[in-house]
Amino acid sequence: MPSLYHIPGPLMHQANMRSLTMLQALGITVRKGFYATDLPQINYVDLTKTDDEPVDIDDFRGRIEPGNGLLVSKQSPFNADGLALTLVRWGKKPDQCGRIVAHDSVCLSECQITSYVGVRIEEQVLFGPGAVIMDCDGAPADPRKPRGIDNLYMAPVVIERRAWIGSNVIILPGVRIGHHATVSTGAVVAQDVPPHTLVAGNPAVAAQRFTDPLPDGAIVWD
Amino acid sequence: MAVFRTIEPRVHERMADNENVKKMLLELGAALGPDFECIGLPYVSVHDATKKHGEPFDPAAMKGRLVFGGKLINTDITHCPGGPCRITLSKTSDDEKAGGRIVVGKTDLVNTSLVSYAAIIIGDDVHFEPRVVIMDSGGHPADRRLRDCAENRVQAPIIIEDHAWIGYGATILPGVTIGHHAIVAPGSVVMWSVPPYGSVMGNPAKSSKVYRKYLETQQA
Repeated sequence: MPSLYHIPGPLMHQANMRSLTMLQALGITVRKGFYATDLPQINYVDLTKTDDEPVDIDDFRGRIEPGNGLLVSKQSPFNADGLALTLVRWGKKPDQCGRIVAHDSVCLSECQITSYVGVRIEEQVLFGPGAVIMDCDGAPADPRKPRGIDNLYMAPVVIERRAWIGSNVIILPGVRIGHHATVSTGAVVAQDVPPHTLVAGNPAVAAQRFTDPLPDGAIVWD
Repeated sequence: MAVFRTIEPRVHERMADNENVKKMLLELGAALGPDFECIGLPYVSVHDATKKHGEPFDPAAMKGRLVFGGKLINTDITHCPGGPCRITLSKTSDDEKAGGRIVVGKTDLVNTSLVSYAAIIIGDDVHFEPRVVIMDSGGHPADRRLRDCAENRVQAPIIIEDHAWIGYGATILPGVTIGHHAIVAPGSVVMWSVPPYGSVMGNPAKSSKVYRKYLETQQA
């Protein structure tokens, strides 16, 4: 690990402790070795209640499982808008609520995730700053339909192990990103990405496949 | 020209920031032009990958790797979100000609993010709109079977020639050369080089009939 020279130096440890306290108060259990660089923004939205009623944190308890790290802001090399995780409860049943699960060796860096049904991020997924993931748009695609839960398209988003989500990527509802896939900077992913594939552009299309055998002496991941 | 803004950076704070940043950049062996000025604080992160873990950081080893001929504008002075200039430089080799270097001519950087593992060369009088991202390496290998290490990293220098125009929030990817007097539309992701006097738009950025027509109407 090389040496670092920062202007200005953030008070990492203090921020970490403060965010741990905050996450515990919000019913979020963290993984071993967890760290956060700043206070993340956590939003709980309960559509089953009126505007005057307070949100009950117990309705959302355990629905967010962050990975091993949260890079919240001021640390990445780009001007991203900070980390925000939003859960929406749209029914009284226990599973009628968003869920964000990140497995081991995942660091959510300045991404914004909105969940109505479920976002799953598997092991060793790599995030660039400013990614946006949503499993529901929050409004019906047909503007003539009334706004309401019945007209929403909700579909879970899955990012399989060791994929790489580049900076400022947008992932739309129902997308499954295959293992070892790479999503290039600024791509808007509207359809499934097969494993071992590099996608780029808006809309994201396959640009390269990494299925050939690697040359001798290549330094591979174990 | 008279301007009214609700948030006007206070003059004495601006001067103090400017002096502090100048001192810090000079400590890092940066070469600053006569017109150099810093408005607000930039985010500078300099990495020395030629050193082993635990060795102290030596600013003198960075000599000549940062050159700024114009201003660094780090505050939200425009009508759209800005943020600081973010300068991330990783010295990956002792070779004078490669291994992380940012050279900017007489050009003002406005809320620009630069990430350099190879070289970023920017000419004179390039018009930057805010929030442009320029990175000459993704930082990781694109083939995810490979390990994240320096040998596998893909990196290629970026050159932006004189009088180019880079639109708001554009992203410029490794290995791209943007010719002189070329125009990059706002929000573009530039993957392929742009010829002199060319114009590109979109993600991926291509020469587009619609955009050329739009530019013609602007000039008429």
